[in-house]
Amino acid sequence: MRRVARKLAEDRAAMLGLGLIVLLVLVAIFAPWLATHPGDVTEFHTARRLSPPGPENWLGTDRMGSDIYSRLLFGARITITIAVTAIAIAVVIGVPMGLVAGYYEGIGSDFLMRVSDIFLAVPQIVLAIAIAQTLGPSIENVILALSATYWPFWARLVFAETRSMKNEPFVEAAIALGCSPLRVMVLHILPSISSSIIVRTTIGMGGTILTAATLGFLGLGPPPPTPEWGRTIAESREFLPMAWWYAAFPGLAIFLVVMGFNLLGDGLRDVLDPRLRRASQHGR
Amino acid sequence: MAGELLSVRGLRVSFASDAGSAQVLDGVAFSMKAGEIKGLVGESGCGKTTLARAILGILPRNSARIESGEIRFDGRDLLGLPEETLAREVRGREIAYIPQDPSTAFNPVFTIGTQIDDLMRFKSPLLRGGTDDRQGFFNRYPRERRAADRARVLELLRLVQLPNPEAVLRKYPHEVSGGQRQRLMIAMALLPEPKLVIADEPTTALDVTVQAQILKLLKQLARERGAAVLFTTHDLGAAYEICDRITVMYAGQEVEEAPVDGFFGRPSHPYTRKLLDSLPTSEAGIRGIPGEIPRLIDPPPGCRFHPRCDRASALCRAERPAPERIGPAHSVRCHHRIGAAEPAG
Amino acid sequence: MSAGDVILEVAGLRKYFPVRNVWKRRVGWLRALDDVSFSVRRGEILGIVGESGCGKSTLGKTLMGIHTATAGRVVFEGHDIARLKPHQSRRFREHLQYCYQDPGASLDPRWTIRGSLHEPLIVHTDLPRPEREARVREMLRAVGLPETHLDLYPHEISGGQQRRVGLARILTLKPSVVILDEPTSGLDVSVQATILQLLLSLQRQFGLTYLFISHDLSVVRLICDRVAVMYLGRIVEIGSTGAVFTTPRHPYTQSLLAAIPVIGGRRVTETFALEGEPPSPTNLPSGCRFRTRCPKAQPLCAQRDPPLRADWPDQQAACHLAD
Repeated sequence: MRRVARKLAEDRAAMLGLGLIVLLVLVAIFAPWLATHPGDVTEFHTARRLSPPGPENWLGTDRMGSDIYSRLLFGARITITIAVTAIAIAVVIGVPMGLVAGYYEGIGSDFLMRVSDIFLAVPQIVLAIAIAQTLGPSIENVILALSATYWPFWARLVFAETRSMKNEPFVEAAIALGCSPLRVMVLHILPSISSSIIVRTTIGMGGTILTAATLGFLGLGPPPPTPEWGRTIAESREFLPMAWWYAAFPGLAIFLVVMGFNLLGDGLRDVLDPRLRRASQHGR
Repeated sequence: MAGELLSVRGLRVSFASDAGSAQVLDGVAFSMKAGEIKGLVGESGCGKTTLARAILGILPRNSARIESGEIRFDGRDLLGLPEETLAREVRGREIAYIPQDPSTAFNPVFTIGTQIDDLMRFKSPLLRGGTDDRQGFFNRYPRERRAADRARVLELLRLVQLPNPEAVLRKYPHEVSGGQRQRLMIAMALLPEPKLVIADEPTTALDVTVQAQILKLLKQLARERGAAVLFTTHDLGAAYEICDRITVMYAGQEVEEAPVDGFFGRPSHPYTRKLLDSLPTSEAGIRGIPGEIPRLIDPPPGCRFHPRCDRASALCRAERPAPERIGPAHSVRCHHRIGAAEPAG
Repeated sequence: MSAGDVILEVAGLRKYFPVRNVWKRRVGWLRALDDVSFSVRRGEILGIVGESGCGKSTLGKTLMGIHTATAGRVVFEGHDIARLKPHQSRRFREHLQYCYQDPGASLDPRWTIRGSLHEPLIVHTDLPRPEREARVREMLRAVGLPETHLDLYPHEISGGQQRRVGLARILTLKPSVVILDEPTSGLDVSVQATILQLLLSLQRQFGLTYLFISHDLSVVRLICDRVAVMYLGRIVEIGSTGAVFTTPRHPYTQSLLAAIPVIGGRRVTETFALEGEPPSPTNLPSGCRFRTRCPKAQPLCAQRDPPLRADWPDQQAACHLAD
C-alpha cells in the first residue's frame, strides 16, 4: 500500500486529479460556509438577474438573480451524492455477479453474462434517458438510471478477471485444499482483482458524473430549483452568448471534476496494473 | 587443427534494474574453434543466455550495457560493427540462432513456407558475393534465386527428417508438433550456411524421447555442414551427448573449460564437482549445493562461488583466480582446484 | 494400520475432455485418462512417469478433484471420492494433499506466509488460534525455515524458500498421502537435489506416502519404490523401480530408458532408435496405442488393445509381445 502511495505521489497528473477530487469533496462539505449567498439555492432576486461577475456576485447571477457561485457549491453536493450512490449500487450488483459468473462455468453464468451484454449493447446514455424519462425527474431516479446502466461494466470486468485468476496456481491450490467457493472468491480472488476494480471505479466515476449532468441538461435530473450543474447549463442556453458566465462556470466545474477522476484513474492504472507490477517485480 | 572462430575476452555486461545495476557477466573469456560443438553450461542466472545474446548482438538496449571487453568473430570485432552491418551480414547469415521455445519463435499468422521464404530472401547463401547483395524491404526476390533457394529448403527439410516437406511449408506453425517445430528451427538456422549456430537450450521444452532425436539431428547436421554450435544448457546429460568441449559458468564468471571427457572425468573446479555430484544419476546419492545463487546486484567479491565453497580461503574473497591450464584444452579458474598439490603456506 | 496396506486405490479411472469446434459443438473426446487402475500402499513412493500429454498431470488433478472424473473409482481411506469436488469431500480429503509443480506459486501473493500456513487449518479443523500457530511453527521448522519468515510476503523470500513454505502449507494438515506434481521440473540440478532431500526427510519424519508425478526418469529411479509408466492416458507398465529400470518389458519403457543420457556411458545420440512423436490423444490408433511408434509392432497390435499382464514378479506390462 505504501509503495502504491509513493509511486502515485510521483505521478503529477494523478496528483492533480486527486487534488481536484479532494477540492470537490471539501467544497461539497463546506458549501454553507464557503457560499457568499447560501440562501440563493432557493431564493431569487429578480432585480439582480443576469448580472456579470463582480464583487457582489463573484461568478455572476442566473436568470432568477441567484448567485451562481453559491449554487455551484451546493451543486457539488448533488453531483457527489448521485455519482457515489450510483457507482456504489453498480459495484454492489456488478462485482458479485461477475465473481459468481466467472467462478462457476455453466449455463447460469452464460445467462448472467448475456444479460450484461444486452445492457452493454444499448448506448449508456440512451438507456439512462429511457429509464429516467419513464420514472420521472428526481435525484433517486437519476441514481437508479445510472446504476442500472453502469453495473454491467463491473460485471464484465470482474468476470474476465475472475476467469483468468481461476487458472492462477494459488487459486487452484486453494480449491484443491478444500476451500469453499465463497472463501476462494472472497479471500483469494477478490483481493487480487481489487486493483482493477478500483481503477475501473475511479474512471467510471467521471463517466457517471458526465451522464448525470447530461440527464440534468435534458431536464431528466432533479427538478428546479435544485442547483444541479447540468440543469444550470440547460437554463443558460437562451441567454447565450451575452451571459457567458451562466454556462461557462458550471461547464468548467463539470470539466474539472471529470478530468480529475480520469487523471487519477489513469495514474492508478499505471501503478496498480498487474502486468506492469509483475514486470517491476522481475526487475528486483 | 581448425583456427579460432570466436573469441570473447573480458566481457562485462550489466543490467539496470530498479534496485541497482546487476553484474550479469563479469569479465568472461570464452572461445570456440571452427566446426566444434561447444557446451555452455550452468544453472539459471549464471549468464549463459546473456553471453549467447551478447554474441548475437541482441541484448535489450534499454537495460543492458556492455561495459568492457571484446567479441571477435571470424576476424571481426562484433562490438565495433555498426548495427546495420550486423543485421545484414552477421546475424542470421554468419551466426544463426535456435531459440529455446520453438512454439513462440514462429509468427502464428503466416505459413511456415512464407516465413522460410522471407529468411531466404535476405539470408540465402546464394547472395554471398553476388551483385544484388543490397537488400531492401521492397527489393524483388529474383525468380531464379527463389527456385534455387526453394530446392535447398526442401533438401534441408528432408535432412531434418520432416515427413512430406512440401506439405509442411503450406502449414501454419500451430499445425505442426513441438518436435517438428524444433526440427524446422534447426533447418532454418542451417539454411544460410552459417559458420556458427547458437542453440539456446534447444531441447529444454521437449520430451526426453524427442530430445534424443533432436540432439542426434543437431549433432549430425552440424558435423556434415561444418557449422560450429554454441549449445547453452542447464542439462549436463544433454551437454555430454553432443559437445566436444564444455565451459561452465557460475554467477556471471566462467570457472572451468574442458574437453567433454576431461570435464566429466576429471572436474577440477569445486563448483563443477558439486554440480556433477548433484545429478540424480550420481553414484554419491542425493547431494545438493548448500546455499543459494548470489544476487548479481551485490555479488560476492573475488571468486563468486566462494560463499558456497568448502575450499574457500581469504584469497578467494580477495581476487578472482586467473585461468590455469591443467591439461590439453583444459583450464580452470580456482585458487584451490581439485587435484592440485596443497599450497605451501 | 500396518505398513504396506493399500491406502489409495484407483480403479478404471477415466477423464475425457470434450473437443469442441469453433461453434462449440462437441466433435470428439480427448481421452486424457483412459481406464487407469493402480493402488498405492501406505508409506511407499509411487512414481508416475511419462512424456507431456500422457495424462500424468490430469491423473493428479483428477485424484484431487480439480477435474471431475468421467468414470471410475478413487478409494481413499475407505471412501470413494472420484466424483466429489474438493470442498464437498473435505472431510475425506483432509489427509490427501496435492503439491503443485512450483509449491511457491500456490501461495497467494497478497497473504503473509502466516496467513497462507493457517488457511488449511482454518478450512479443515476447528483448532483455536494458539494451537494452529503452534502447528504452523512446527511445520515451518520442519522445512528448515526460521519463524521470522511468518510475517513476510511471498515476494520477500527467495524462490527456494517459497517452495519450502508451499510444502509446509500442505503438511500442516498432517496428510497421509501427498501427490507431488512435477516437484523438480524447471529446477537446476543443485536445487533439485536439495528439494529431493527435503522430500525424503519429510516422508520419513511424518510417515508420508507420495505419488510422485515426474517426466524425469533419473529422479524417479532415485527416490521411488515403485513406478508406473504412462503413455497416452494409460498405464503401460507398472512395477517395482528395480524391475522396471533393469528389465523394462514394454517397448515404450525401453525407449524412454534408452533416451536418458548417461554420463560416461554410451551416447544416446548414437544409439537412439525411436522415431516420431506420440499421436494426438483426440485421435488414438486402434488396438495398442503405442503401435504407431513401436519397433516391434505386429498385425495383432492393431486389432486388440493389450491389457496389463501380470506375468512377471513385481511387474506388469500392457504389451502383447513382451516376454
